[in-house]
Amino acid sequence: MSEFPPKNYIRTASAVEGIEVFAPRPLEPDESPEIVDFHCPQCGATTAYSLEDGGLKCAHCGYFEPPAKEIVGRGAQDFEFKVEALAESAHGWGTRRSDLVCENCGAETSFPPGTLSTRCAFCGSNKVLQREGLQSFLRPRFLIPFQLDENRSLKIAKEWLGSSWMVPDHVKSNSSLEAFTPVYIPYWTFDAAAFANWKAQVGYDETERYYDASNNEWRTRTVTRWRWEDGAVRQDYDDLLVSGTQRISSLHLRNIQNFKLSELVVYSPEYLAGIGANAYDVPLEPAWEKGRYAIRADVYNLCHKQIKGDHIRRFEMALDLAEESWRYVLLPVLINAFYYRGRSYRIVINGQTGKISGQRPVDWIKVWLVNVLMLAPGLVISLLGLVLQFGSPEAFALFWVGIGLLVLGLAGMAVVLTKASGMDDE
Amino acid sequence: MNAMVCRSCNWRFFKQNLPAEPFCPHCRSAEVERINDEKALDFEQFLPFSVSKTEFHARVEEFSRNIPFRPPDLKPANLLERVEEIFLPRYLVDADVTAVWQAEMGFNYEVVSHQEIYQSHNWETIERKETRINWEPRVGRLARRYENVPAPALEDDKALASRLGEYSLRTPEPVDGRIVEPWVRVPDRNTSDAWLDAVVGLHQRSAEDCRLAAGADHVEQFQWQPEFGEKHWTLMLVPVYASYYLDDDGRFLPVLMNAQTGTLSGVRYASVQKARRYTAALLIIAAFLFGGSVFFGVVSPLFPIFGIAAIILFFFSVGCAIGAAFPVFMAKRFNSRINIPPGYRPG
Repeated sequence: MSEFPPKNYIRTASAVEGIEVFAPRPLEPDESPEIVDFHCPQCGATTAYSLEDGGLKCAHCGYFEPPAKEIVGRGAQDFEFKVEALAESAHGWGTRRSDLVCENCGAETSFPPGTLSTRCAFCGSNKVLQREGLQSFLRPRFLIPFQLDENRSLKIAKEWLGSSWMVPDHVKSNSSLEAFTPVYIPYWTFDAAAFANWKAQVGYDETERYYDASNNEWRTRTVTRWRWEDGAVRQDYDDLLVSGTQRISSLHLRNIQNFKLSELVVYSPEYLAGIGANAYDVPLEPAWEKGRYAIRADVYNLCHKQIKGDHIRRFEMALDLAEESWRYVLLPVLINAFYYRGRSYRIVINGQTGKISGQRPVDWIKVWLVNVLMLAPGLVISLLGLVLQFGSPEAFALFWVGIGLLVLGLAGMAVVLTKASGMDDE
Repeated sequence: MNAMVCRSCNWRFFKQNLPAEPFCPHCRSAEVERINDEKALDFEQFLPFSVSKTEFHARVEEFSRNIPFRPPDLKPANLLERVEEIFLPRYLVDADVTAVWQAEMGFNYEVVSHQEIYQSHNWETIERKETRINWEPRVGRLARRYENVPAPALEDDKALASRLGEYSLRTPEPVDGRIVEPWVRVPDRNTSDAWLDAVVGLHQRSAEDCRLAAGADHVEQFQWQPEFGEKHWTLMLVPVYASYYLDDDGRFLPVLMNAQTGTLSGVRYASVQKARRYTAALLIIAAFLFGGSVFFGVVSPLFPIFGIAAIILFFFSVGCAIGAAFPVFMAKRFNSRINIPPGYRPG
């Protein structure tokens, strides 16, 4: 050892007298500033991340600074389910608010718990909070930068609103739809290898002939032959996504969840400048529980697919999960909310792929009119058939044609009503 | 000093009161020679004989079990009657150690994994905890004095340790000028030879202390650059019971026992002579059966029923004749696996 202690080694506690111990300096020392402010090096104005340009931009002088984009993709570091990680993540953010002095204007600003980025209410400077994580391993390490700007998202939203005839015309041509708000949503990603062993009684239907003594004739009947079968399933799960927030409808988040994790980059505060971001409010353990529910349902189906019989009973399955690991990431979402007849409707767009989901108001007059139009032919023809049969019995066939059309109309009506009632689901 | 050397096994012994007709307590050879060694042996500590003679008896009984055709002399009572108490020497060194060290330290941590059971239309989750090791590099400095680090005082110390197992050196008693009654084997290594082995022991102790200092659960790849000072050597005695039994040719087959732990070591020998006696008995039976077969064969023309008896006896005689080869074969095969340890020279 030419140099002692070696570079980047620091003294640590020793439990034995006469022995000094030096350990590598932690990779993530708390040397980063608690709050990162973003100022233009040219004019000193506040800079923010520009979704359009993909970097820090000064709205005042046009200065642009691209972020150090270090793409790690699916190779991004993941973590084991350490007992301490589960315990720490369960503590949550509590109710403590951070009171910090704005270095830009000197004002004392209060941030709600779990806030990762904010704006000073007094000078409007963008701030990214670095130390909100309880533990270093529970801070976001990776994110997918926005690839969609506000204008493009507005266009997607208008096309989506206009794509359904049930949406009121007033909403379709709504020019007052305000710009989307970009936010980073906390997500947990999980990896696991699943090994399942199953056994079940599988029934195979067979047709057999038997003699019916009461009628003195041979007949056929179907009998089920049962036998025990077993099998095994092995399935790897890579980057199973579970939302880490309850603030946005899980239904809509699930609808837009086609994120390409191959584009994950290393977290850097520049990405959050001027963009809303919150830490998770669904801790690691409950999130993994949701993930496991999804895995076991999937493996359950895979096991059932192996069974070729006609019936299954006494199905049992033991599913072992190995190499379980997790990652905490921020994923880009654009959110918008608009009011229609006193009710708020929310739209979310995947900030990477542009997939959209949300609530849309329904023009119920239009919907009922269409329903009436669907039912009318059947009603009219059946009534006509009923009346005409008094003069000509052959016209009774017309009655049945009308009834057929009426049934079709009712089926169509059920489809339309189901779709319409689901359009504003939260 | 009352010392002697055995010309047969080359072990050198010291005894306070040598017998009038000296013999080697190890190999029982009478070819011993008194030697005049001017060097005084400074034994400071010894481990007492903590295994009782009753336990020795039981261990010999266990040792001799499952030996086919056990030699007639291999009886626990015989071995107990012939037992001699021997002390083997071992160096203990105290030294100041200053070193710069580096190692990979392993820290245990627990991870959680899951098993999901589906039974009777219900899911049950079983959480399991597994201990894993996180390896991290550590470096440091060490300045400590280590005491009573053992080092071999005999050239065949490793061979003996492999047969007798390790001794726990935690409960030594001081010699304090007391007369040491048992035989004491005289060291055949000097301290400069033993120092290299002592350094290995110091390395192990330092590695363990550094692990404790770092609060780690495991240590690997411990490397150091040591400097040693204030070395102090002492001799310690560890107890051994030595006995023997005789093989077919009257040769001594030594049996040694670690008198602290009861680990017994010796040659397990099958008596070929005894096996031959069984073989001879079987051959005699075969001959009788064959004679009977011939007799019945001769009289069978007169009494045809005797023909069947002749055939049966013939086959039995052949069976006995073939089986007669087995005892000697088994005994020789058992003995072929004997690996006489170095130092044993059956006389």
